[in-house]
Amino acid sequence: MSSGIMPFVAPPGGRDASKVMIGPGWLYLSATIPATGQPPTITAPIPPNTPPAVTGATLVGYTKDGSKFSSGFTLTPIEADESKAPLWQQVNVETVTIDGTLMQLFDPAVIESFLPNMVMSTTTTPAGTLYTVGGLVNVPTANLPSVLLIGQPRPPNDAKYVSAMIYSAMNVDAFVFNLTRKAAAETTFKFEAQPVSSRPLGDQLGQVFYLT
Amino acid sequence: MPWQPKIPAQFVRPLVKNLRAVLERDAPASLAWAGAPIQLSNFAWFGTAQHVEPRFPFCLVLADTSDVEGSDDGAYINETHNIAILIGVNGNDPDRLADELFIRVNAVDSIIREAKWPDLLEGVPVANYGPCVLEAGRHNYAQFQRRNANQQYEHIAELSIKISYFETVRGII
Repeated sequence: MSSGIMPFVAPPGGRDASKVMIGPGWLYLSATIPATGQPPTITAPIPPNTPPAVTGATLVGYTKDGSKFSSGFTLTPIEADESKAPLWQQVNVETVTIDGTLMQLFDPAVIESFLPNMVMSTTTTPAGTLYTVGGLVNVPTANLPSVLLIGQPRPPNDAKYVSAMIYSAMNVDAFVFNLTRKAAAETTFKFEAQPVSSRPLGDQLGQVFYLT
Repeated sequence: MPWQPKIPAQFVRPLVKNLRAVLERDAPASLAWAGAPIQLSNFAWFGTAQHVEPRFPFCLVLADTSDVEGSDDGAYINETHNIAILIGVNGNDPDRLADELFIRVNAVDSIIREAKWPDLLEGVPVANYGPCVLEAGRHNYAQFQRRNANQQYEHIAELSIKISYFETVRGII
């Protein structure tokens, strides 16, 4: 055996800085929903600091603090008198969300997706975009877009990316614009996944994809 | 590939130059309003740096500090520029100087509050900066008072203003 310094070899599962993720992330609306078993279609590799082109998608624009994806569920314990521990745990409700704070409120092409209970129309005199609210029975399909979050986990100059997608999303946060002199208007949003029953079980809400 | 900035920020430079130009443009009218019925002379010197031998009365726009922070989504730079404006007068009657300084500070403060963003950010493409906030803050009249051997007095007041906005590149976030 040589007397030189032994090269360090990280054991599997050890500390690995290349597996740490950091933003920024880019948020898209209405990206084409991929077929089951496929990730979203990104039409070009990701250059550093530049949002990638995504088929059919609208880039949301400025957010205040980036965007956050989360996936969770609630459990209902099934119990019996004879056992102190639950006999099993029933997965009850699965929740997938993407949330953040939107800055570009003056953008009809984007705002429509943040107003699930409003109806959008365009006017000619004066020319503009009109949203009306009150008494809607069904949420328009256009107000339940897909929402896609893409980020480069290892900057810079690394074409690897991670994506998180909700196939059909409803914004469940109140839409707010606060007009003050000292700060730009902003509104928080929380897109919550609605089930897409035409997709197979296990793939009805959304997905997360890591490019290896 | 040639080097290029991610965000073509200009920070405080255009603000200082443009604010100086706005003050020089509007000072005669503002001094006439603030001093009426007293008619004060215009400032003899508008500058952006202190000199050893200033010309009185002067109005200087001085960059103090800039707080700069990148946004969390990487799309823009949040900037808060703290700018000091020094107004100086001299003469042999300290009581008259004190009153003159009040008028000149009022005139300058009023110009700043009335300033338009296209004037203050001239040279910065409109699409490159976000909503602007201007806060005209403290008036400090005791900034610098002295007398020389010829019984000439100098009074200097300082206005502190804070201008906030963000700089970005449209579409590239």
